Amino acid sequence: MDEADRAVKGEGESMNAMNPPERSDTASAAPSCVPDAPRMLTTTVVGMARHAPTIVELVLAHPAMPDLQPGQFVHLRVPEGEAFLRRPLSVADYDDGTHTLRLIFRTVGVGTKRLSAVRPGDRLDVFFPPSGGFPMDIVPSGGRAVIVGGGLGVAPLLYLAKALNLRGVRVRARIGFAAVEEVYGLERLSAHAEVELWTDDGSAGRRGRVTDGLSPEEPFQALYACGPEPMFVALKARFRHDGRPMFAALEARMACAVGVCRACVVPVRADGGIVHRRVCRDGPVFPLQSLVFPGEEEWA
Amino acid sequence: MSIAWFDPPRAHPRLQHHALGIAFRHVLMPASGTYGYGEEFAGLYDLRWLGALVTKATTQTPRLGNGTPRVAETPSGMLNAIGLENPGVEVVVERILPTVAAYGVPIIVNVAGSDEDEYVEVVRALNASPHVRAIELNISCPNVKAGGMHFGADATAAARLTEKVKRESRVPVIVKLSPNVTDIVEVARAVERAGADALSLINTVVGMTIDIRLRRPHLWNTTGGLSGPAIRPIALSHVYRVYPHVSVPIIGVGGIAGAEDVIAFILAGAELVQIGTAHFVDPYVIPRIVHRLPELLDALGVEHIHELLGRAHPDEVLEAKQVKNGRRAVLSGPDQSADKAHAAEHAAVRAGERTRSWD
Repeated sequence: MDEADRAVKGEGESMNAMNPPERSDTASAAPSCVPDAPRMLTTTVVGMARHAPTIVELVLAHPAMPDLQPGQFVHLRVPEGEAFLRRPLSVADYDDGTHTLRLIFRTVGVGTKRLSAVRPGDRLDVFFPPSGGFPMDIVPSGGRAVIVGGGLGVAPLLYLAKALNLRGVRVRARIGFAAVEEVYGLERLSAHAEVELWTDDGSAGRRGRVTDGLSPEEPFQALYACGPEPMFVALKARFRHDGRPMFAALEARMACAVGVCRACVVPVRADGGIVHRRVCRDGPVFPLQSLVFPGEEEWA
Repeated sequence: MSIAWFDPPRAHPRLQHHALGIAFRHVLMPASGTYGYGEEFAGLYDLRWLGALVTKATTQTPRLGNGTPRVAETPSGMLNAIGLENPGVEVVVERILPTVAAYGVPIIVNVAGSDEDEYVEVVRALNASPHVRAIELNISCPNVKAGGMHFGADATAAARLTEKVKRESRVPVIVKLSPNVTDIVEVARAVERAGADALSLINTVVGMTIDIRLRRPHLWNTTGGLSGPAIRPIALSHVYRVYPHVSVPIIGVGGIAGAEDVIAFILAGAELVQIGTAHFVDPYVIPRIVHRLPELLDALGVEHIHELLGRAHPDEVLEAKQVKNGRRAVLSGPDQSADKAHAAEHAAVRAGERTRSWD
C-alpha cells in the first residue's frame, strides 16, 4: 500500500455506487457464512489500506482462489446484511502464487462503506463471475500497448500493466485524475509501464484530460482503456478511423453478475444494428468502437 | 457440508412431487427472470439440481427492454424494471430450448405479451417445441406499458386471457398473479374457473426509489417491481389467503431465500416454490436449500415435505380442501399408503409408463 493517498474523482456511474441512499432493514437473503462453491469462496482479509478519503484497497486471500485475468471483476457480499445485493469490484492485482487478490474501490454508499470497514482476519464471501477480461494475446512479446485510465478506472489497469509487462510487452500508460490529492497507483504502475500523469487542474503531471496528449500516430498493437464515459467518447472520436484493436472495460449497475438478470446491459453496435450486451457476462471488456454512448455524436 | 455441484444429485424422495404432469425431483425451481434460460447457471452446477427450470418471460418478437438503470437496491430487496428483454419465441424454440433440454430438467416457459393475440401467438409457437412441459402465463409484469400487469389487475381480463391460452396450449398453464390488486382471491378464482392448471403467487410488488440529489427516480422506468425478502410476508399472506379458495396447485414465490422460508410457504399452502432474487445474492441457492431441507424435515419431525402442506391453516380449511381436491389428496399426511401411492405414480411417470394427462 504504497500509493498516493487522496481521493479519486468519480466516474459518472460508479460500479460501487449502485446502492441507493438509505437502508433501514438488516434482514439478509442467506446465511452470512455460506459454504464454499466452485466459484464462491469465503476469503480472508489479509490487508486493508485507504489510499484517499474515499479510495480503499482490500487484500483478500484464499488457498483455492480461481485464477483471475486482468479486466475481470469479483462480486462481494457485504457483511452483516445491511446491503442486500453484492458489490462488483475491480481487481487491481492477483497473485497466483499466494492466491492473493487486491481490490480497489471507492466508498460511496452503505455497501462500499461497510466493506471499507473490514479488518484483517475478517472473512468475506466472494463470487467470481465467469466474465471476460482484456484480450492480451493480441500483442506479441516485444510489442507495444497503450493503457488509458481515468479515476477509479485506473484500478484494473494496474493488474493489466503488470500482466502485459510479464509477457514482454512494452506498456505506455496515461492516467488521469481530477487533482493531485486524488492520484493513486502511480508508483505501482511505474514498475510495469512508462507512465504519463494528467490532472484536470494541473496540480500533478500535465494539465488537461488524459486523452489530450494521445496522438493517432502513437505506436501500439493494442490500446486498453478504463475510466469515465467522456474519456471513452473522446478516445472513440480520436481513433475513429484507426483499425487497431482497442478495448474498453466498463462498469455498470448490476444485480446477478451471472448474466441472467439483464440489469447491466449496454448498447453495442453489431451486425449493422444496435444490440444489448451484458457488462457482467459479455464484458466487462468490449471493443471500444463497438460501444454506443448516450449523447455521443453520431456519424455515418 | 460438501455438495457435488457437477454431479447429478441423488434422488430426493422426501422432496419429490408430481403435479402438472411433471415428476418434480423436488419442489424448488427458479422464478422467471432470475435464471435466464438456464444456460449461464449450467456453468455453475448440474441443472438437475432443480425441480424444474422456469425461463425468462418470452414474447412473440425480440424485445430490447427498458433503458437503464434497470435495478435499484432497497431494504432487504431490490427493484427491477428490465422491461421483458428477451430474444423472442422463435429463437427460444429453435435455438435455446433444444440446448437447455439437454440438461435434463423439466422446462416451464414464462409467456408474456402486449395483448391477447401476442400471448396466444407465443403459446402456439411453443406448442411446436417438444421440450416445453408447462407454460407460466405472466399477467403480472409491472414494467411494461402494454399487457403484463394490465391483464392481472382485472379478474375478467385475466380469465379471458387464461381461457384463450388454455384453448391453444398443449401443455398445462400456470398463471402467475400480481399482488398489485385489491382482491387476489377474486383473480385467482376467476383464472381457475377459466382453466388454469396452477397459480404462481406472487409476481413483484410495484415500488420506486428516488435519488434525492438528482431529484428523480433511480429507475429509468420510474417504478419497478420489488422483490427479495422484503416481500416475503406479502407473498406468504397471498398464498395463505388464496389456498382455501382454489383446488389447483399453488406455486409460492416471493423472497424465499432459505430452507425455513420454503417450509413456511408449504405450510401456507404452496405445493411448489420458486426462488428468485436470492439467486443474485447466492447463485448456488437452490442446491444449497435442497441439500439442507432433509435435515430441517428431520427437525420438524416429518418424512415428506408435503406432510406440512397447508398445515398452517385451521382444520376446517384442510378438511374442505380434501373434499374439493377430487383430483388427488393434496394432503399426503402421515399416512404412509398415500405416500407410497404417490411415489409409485412418480416412478411410473418417470419411467414413461404413464403418459401425462395433458398429452
